[in-house]
Amino acid sequence: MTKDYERAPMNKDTYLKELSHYLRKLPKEDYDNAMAYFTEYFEEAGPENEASVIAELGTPKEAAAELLRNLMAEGSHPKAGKKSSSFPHLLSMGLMVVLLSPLSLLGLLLLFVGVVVGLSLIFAVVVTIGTTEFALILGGGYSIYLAIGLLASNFSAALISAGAGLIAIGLAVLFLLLAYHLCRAILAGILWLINTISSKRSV
Amino acid sequence: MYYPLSALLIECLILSIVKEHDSYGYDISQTIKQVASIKESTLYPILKRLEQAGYLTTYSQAYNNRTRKYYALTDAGEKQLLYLQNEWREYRDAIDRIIEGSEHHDEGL
Repeated sequence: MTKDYERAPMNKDTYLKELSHYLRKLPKEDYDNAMAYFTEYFEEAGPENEASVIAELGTPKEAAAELLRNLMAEGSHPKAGKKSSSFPHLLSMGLMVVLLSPLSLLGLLLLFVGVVVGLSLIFAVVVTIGTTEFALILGGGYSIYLAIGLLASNFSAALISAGAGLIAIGLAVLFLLLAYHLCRAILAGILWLINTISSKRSV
Repeated sequence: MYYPLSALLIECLILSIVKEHDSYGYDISQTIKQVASIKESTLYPILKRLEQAGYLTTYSQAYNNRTRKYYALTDAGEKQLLYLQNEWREYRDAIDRIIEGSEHHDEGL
């Protein structure tokens, strides 16, 4: 593997080629848009500014890492689009950022621990809420079923049963929302950790 | 010298530039670079997010023998810009008041 000082000086084409290599894991549309943006930037700057553009962007690997980091950060922004703020999309961005960033051993360790803790928390939330949902929906559904049966014979009992059932269903919906927001918050925490650790030059 | 700009202020700048007339990436970035040392790797994701939030639309147009991707302001973008401009003006005025020494927290207005 050639070291930086052995490589021939970069020009626009070699730079973009290397950049595209580091961005190759992006979904096609994101990849196309990002490459188009940087290609256009070089072209607008003109050949006379080529060197200063390359100097400003840093090495292709650094530029790619920073780009992915910022794409990930913008993706967790409340005003991001549906597709770019989805769980799998953000997690895969996080993975790409980690792979491209120069991390010290300590940084890698911290990151690993943080991600494991975060994912375990999400798993715990899903399992807990999952079983609670199951119980609530089953119990609530059964209460309503009983209520329908009681309608003719004991109206007030039917009302109580229906009420209890509806409360259970209502709680099920609330807990689902709670779980969703909890998982989003934990994911945001994981991404923040990735962002913070990979943007420090030396951790 | 540049004071660091918040992401919201950068958003305000982008929307203001595009409101003036549809602009392409390089044009927007050079304008913002007059007041902030922002990198393309940072600017592009913001542009992308603004587009996905519905504040900007894009279209391609040929220029010489290359294509430029132009950004245009949407109605939602215009509303957001008004909001951000107001926020900025209040903030800027508050800072100026403190700098000119005419306001302390406990004196009130």
